[in-house]
Amino acid sequence: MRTSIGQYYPANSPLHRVDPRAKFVAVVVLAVALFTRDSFAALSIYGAAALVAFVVSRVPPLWFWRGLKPILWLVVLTFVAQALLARGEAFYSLGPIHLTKRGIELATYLSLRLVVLVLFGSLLTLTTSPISLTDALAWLGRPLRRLRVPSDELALMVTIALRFIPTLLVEIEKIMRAQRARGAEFARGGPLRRARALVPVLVPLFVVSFRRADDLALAMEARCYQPGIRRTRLHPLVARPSDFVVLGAVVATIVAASLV
Amino acid sequence: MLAVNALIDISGLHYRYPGTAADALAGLDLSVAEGEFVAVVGPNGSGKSTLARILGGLAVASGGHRAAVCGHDLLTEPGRLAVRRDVGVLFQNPENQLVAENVEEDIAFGLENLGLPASEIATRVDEMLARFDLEDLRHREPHLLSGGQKQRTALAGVLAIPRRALVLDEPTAMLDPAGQVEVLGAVARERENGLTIVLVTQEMDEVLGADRVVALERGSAVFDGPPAELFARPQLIADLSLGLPAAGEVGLALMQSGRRFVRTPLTIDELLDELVGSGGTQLTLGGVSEHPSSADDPAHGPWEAHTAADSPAPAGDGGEA
Repeated sequence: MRTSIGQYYPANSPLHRVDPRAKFVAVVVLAVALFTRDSFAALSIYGAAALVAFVVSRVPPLWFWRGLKPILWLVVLTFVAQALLARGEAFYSLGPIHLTKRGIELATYLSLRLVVLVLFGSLLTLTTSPISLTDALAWLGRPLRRLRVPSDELALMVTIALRFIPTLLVEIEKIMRAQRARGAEFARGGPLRRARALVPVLVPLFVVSFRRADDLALAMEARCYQPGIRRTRLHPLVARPSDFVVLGAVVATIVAASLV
Repeated sequence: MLAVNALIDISGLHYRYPGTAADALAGLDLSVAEGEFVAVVGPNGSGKSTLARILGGLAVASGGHRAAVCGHDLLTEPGRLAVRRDVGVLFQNPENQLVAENVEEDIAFGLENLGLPASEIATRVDEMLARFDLEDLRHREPHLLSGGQKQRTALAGVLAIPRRALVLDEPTAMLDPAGQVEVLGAVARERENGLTIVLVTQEMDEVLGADRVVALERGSAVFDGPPAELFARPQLIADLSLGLPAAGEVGLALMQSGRRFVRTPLTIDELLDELVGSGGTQLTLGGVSEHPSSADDPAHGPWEAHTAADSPAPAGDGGEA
């Protein structure tokens, strides 16, 4: 059994190996650039770039589809809203609904842009484990340490939280079984009744989790952890030439999109 | 009993949990020499786990005449912090000791806290993976490990920082029999390498291998001596709800049904010797084979003399808070 937290698709593609900081910066920059120029030509360049990255990532298309599915309604909503709200000469009218050429064009453009944006985002989360992403954010957040934001501690906190998700899922399962054995029913009644049935699950879950947290804190102290210490890492983030190739490709894409 | 050059030298140690009326440790004396393997036993609430935490610099003693561990004074804050570097503590629940997303990252955790360079951490992690037979599990996530594998990972993580002493707080209490064998095997190898070990346990079979056993009751030591000597005191065993090692329980039952033994058997080998006769034979799964030299620390049996009324209670289970 392998539980995948978030969207991450474990593989060893060139894109998986790129430094998470480079990938994060690349996606943010591309997302911003995507909104700075409104043209089908520019959008098709960004789309092509996303497609190339998708092929390089070796992630099965199904995984992208899974990431896209939850926001599909937003894409449809964007399309319908734009198609109906645009002004101009209508080529088709039905009662209060007027469809214009400009409206359809704008709707297609905006919904496709949303799809490309989600593709970029998915490329990051599918090829970067949540832990690496956390490390990258901690590194990028380091300047905030001057403002007393404990970025490294926050990153460690997120890492530990991610590490304990499967443990907590097992715990919930165990408690639910124990409560079922005592006659609890979780799948019956209306929403209110179902929510109320979860209280006897959540209370022991919290109790157990607090005990776990105590134990874990002790075990961490026993391994010389102290808040505020400067830790090193087994796998420190090291920028390699390939990371700069990726950033260069991003710049080239943006330049190309602004020229067409 | 105070040894010269003791690695652990504690005298008159007190600890009281906030909001409680009684001392969890009430004037405890404990001395452990370098390289010694000491087992600590006692009923629930006798102060075993508290002692383990104090030895590791993880709890602040309420007071004491002397509390020196690896040359650090545990009665001071700097001493407590410094001792964490020298004394490793392994706890009962392996699940609650693993911090990182996979085995190698978890072993690295302590070394990362020390601020060592990455190359040094990597070398040490490789060493620990080999030493604890975890190489194949290097990238495995904690929730996909068996109990024994988890506890071995935790042990590797504790010992990745070079230690002078290891304190184990009921390390096998939550493991299945296979996991217990795995972890005890790893601990035994560390002992052979000369590591000083304090093992807090409820398992009397684990006590047998110790050089010395210290029995606690209500926060102070009521026995300090070789395991065989402890098991030769049925009244004390009963008072502390300790029980005997498995072979000892069988031997005792046989004695009570009229069988006479030359000496009280405590290990399986000793029991077989007594049953088959000491003619140098040993029962194996396939029949009878040559027996290697048997244990040479005989405990002479006082068991014949006592009745069922003062026979020891079975060992309690369940962890200590």
